[in-house]
Amino acid sequence: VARLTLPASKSFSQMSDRVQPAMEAAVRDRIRDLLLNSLLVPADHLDSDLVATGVIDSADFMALFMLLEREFGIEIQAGDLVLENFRTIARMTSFVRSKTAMA
Amino acid sequence: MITNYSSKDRGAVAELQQLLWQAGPEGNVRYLDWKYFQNPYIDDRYLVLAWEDENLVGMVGAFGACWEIPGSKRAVLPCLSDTVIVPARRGGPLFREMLDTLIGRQAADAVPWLLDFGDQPAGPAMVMRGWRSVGPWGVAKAALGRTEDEWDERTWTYGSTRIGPRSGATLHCTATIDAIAVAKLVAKVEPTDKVRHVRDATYLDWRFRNPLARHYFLSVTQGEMIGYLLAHRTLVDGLWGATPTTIMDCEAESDDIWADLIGAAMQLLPGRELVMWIRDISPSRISLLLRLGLRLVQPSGRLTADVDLPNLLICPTGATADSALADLNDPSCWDLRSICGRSWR
Repeated sequence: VARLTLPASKSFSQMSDRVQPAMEAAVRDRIRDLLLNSLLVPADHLDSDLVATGVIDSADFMALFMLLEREFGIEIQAGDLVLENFRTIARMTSFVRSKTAMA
Repeated sequence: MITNYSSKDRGAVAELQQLLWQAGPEGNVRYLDWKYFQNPYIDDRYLVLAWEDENLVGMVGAFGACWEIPGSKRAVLPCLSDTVIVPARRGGPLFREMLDTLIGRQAADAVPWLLDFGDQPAGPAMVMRGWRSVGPWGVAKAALGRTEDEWDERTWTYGSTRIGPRSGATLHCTATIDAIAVAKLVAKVEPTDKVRHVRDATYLDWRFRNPLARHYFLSVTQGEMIGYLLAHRTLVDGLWGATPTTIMDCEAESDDIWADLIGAAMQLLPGRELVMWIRDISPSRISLLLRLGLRLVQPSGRLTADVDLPNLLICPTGATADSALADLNDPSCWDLRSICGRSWR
């Protein structure tokens, strides 16, 4: 699976309105791919609340964090530990976008 | 289905815990008995089991630990331990369900906090569910670099002595230690206004009977004990396995004696690597560790990079805490010398 490459010269916040949705879709698709193929989340659960259903629980979070850090070049810190950031693929996408914008 | 432990479950627990304890059926039963039935503070009431049909698929436990609370009497606060789930049931809500049951039982018993010093891959999930992280904190490490051929167990089995180069004191290497003398020294050195683990003879006697542990002791006596070092290796991994040798505790009346004890441990203990927690160790003693050649590994602030560092997670159970116990989720209230959660097996 090809690694997602984020533009080196611009953060999300600096990108044009046209580029941002495309990048968001790329991040979302890559997170979906990671959940499916690396964390082995069943395909029929991908669009659910992954926390409420227990699909991602306990030690899975650390594995998820390692994947997100590696794939998107972000650093997840104690202040990021909010369940709402990781409930759905959409929330994870927003989280990754916010972290890459800060980078 | 989630149940309490009962005596008929002993064999099933021993079988399940082979995933974690790895001491075989008899060794696992001995460890179960020691940790939850011989514990001086709490019985087996906080052993929680998860079943699927007739099969045991998960377990969490909490064993008793006793704490000195400043301005108050001692308090027993259980420590989460021995979490194991069969591979087929991992990646789901079972851990959370067992934990919720355990916390509910503690709340019903009016126990206000549950502590967890264990390994931390589940730590972020626990923090997001309301646990407070006291750490992580740093460790000191040293490669021991000895081979089995170069190590003489008789040093410890039959006792031997070394002269400490800094203090000139005589250091005794032994396989047993006088728990009462240790407790007496603990009571003398460095009084603190923080929450500390009780190290009295009752606790030490129990701790040293851990059937899956091998302990090594260094002590200095001048009329009475003035310094000691307690080191641990798991029996399951053997003397030269990858598991580090751990300095559980080291106290001394002077920095020179303390450094001599650490230095002797580096020279004499078995294993590939020596590890000790450094939270709450004084700056002067941290400097001594560096001078002795230990390497400090400090938290980076990045969760995934710090996952192997020690931590304490603390969870309010919902029971009302009296005033002396009300602020335990404040990281600054703890003095965590002498505990070393990784030396329990």
